[in-house]
Amino acid sequence: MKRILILILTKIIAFILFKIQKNSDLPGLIALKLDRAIISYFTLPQNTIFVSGTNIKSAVANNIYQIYTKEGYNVAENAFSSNHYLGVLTYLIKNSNLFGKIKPNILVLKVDTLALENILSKLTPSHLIVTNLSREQSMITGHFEETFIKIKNNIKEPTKLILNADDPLVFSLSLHYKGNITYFGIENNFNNQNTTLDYDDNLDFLYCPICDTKLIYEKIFYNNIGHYHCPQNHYTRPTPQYPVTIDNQETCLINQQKIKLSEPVLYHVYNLAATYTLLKEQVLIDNEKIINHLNNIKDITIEKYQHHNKNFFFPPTKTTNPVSYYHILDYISKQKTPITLVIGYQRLSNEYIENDVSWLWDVKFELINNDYIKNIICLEKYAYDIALRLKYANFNPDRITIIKNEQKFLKNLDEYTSENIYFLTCDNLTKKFKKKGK
Amino acid sequence: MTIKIAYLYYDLLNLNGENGNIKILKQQLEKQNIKVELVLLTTTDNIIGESYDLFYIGGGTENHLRIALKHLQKHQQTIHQAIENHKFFLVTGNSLELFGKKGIGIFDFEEQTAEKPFQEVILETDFVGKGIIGLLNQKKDIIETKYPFFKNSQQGIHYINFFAPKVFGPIFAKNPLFLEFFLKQLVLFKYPFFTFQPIEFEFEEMAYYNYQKLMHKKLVE
Ligand SMILES: [Zn+2]
Repeated sequence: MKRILILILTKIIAFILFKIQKNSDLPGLIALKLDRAIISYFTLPQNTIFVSGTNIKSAVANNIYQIYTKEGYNVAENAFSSNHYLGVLTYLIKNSNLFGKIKPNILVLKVDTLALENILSKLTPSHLIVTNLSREQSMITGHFEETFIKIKNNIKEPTKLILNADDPLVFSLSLHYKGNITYFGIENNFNNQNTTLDYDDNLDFLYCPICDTKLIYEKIFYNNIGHYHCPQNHYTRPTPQYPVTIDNQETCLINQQKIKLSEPVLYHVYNLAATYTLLKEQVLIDNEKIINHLNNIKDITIEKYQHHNKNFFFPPTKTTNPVSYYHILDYISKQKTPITLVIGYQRLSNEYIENDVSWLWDVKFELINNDYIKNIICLEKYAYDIALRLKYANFNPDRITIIKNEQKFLKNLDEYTSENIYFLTCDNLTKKFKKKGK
Repeated sequence: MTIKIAYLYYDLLNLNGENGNIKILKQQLEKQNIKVELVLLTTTDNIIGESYDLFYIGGGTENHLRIALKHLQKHQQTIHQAIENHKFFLVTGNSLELFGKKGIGIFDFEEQTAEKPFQEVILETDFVGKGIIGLLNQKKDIIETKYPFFKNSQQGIHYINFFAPKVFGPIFAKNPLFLEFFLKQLVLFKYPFFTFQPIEFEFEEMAYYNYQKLMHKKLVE
């Protein structure tokens, strides 16, 4: 079928779905069925930023979107659709004219690492930010090395890459790319630097990609993220364009200017570093204004609700892979009030159907084994697997309660919980708990 | 009493929660009042076969297997001797490749690329009464081995005390009976008159049972 007709048809479907308030990737699916290469029909704005990586892509994409919006630009972001292939395709269908031209002047797309291959092979953004590449939840969809190869094979000029200098795997994209690359990175951690890595630190990529010698780390921020070099000097962490220095728990320094931190956590600092570097690269906004906006950004707010005299807390990112989990556990470990933790999955995510929860063993629950964590409630389908993992993180089984059903948990809140409840739950459950809290 | 464990290529071969096997074994041995010495070894280290009771290797990416193999080749003799001397090995996931014809050639199995997806499996063995749960990468099939690990699959090797089920992930977390079997064999080999305390499985059995149920449901669907 002619592409213009496909676009008309799928736009109508998208409109109907919108009218019946159903958010679905059906328009993308139909378009793809009718034309496997339909995505190449779209013309992106001159300023198109793809944000990808295992973590923090939503926060970075949203920061960029917010700042351009506040500056009065006509900008679009796929904040409310999925960042998988069909989600991105559906988003393009909805936001283009009949000739496939995207209407706004600036487009910010967060793209799942698995979708990046197919999208980059057909569309060329002006900028691609890669935040990090780490192990995912599922082996079935492939591991970080496969993801890396797919990205490497599909990046092409004139896309400008904006890469995390502190991630040695991300940096190795530079060995395969002739185009323009800018790096972001940070200079220090909040407290004492780690200098050693233990076997359970998700050791994804620690060897020189040129000579296979183990990299030496001068600084380790978490897992394999830090400052590294090959002992034979083939491969040294590149110097970021605008290195970020953490002053204290409240502020950091970017390009000699102070920026307020909304929370003292590393991934917030990485958000700021990536956002700042992109905005400087695009040179649409003055430095002073960028700094001003970054000072007012709240990209990691923990949502808080009240329910039956209890505080319900919801972390800002999904706990769907070991690294996002790491950041949230790091945050929780710094809280100094009695806490009940609720961990539960009905299904890991909507994309995968398997039952394998091996990835829970890559989550360092040991980080939160302190006296403030009063008890942990394990909910739903994988409650026993979670409890099992916690037991081997040295949580006494007395602190672990198994409740298979979330209704039962809500009915007996007082019996089970202390005043502050943190929810580490899948989307389905989170929705239900948020409703209660409102 | 001490059990010395070498975690080989801990910084290369550790995909999919496989460090869990070490955590679990260590804790369960300690509960039996056995001291555990865990030694992390990698490409910058020498391997001395006599020093350890157990060698553990997890699964990894293709590139990481390649890097590990370069090092392992230098220690082929040591490893071969250790296996023949009844040292314990636990090799999970795709790392069995390291020991085949395309690796250091201790076992003469050959692998064939197959276009089968990853699959969750429950496979039978001779040494534990219940099937072993795991995640199998079937993109590589073993054609034939004289020493199969499973009764109903060629995906793995069991030879003397060399245990290599080709399943990924923390096999001890998913299979309490296999953990119990392995732990007892390991301890009794070194301390034949050891008296075991009952092993506590607070959550393991329910997790196992639950998984079986979910698998069954998936098959029915
Ligand atoms: Zn090198």
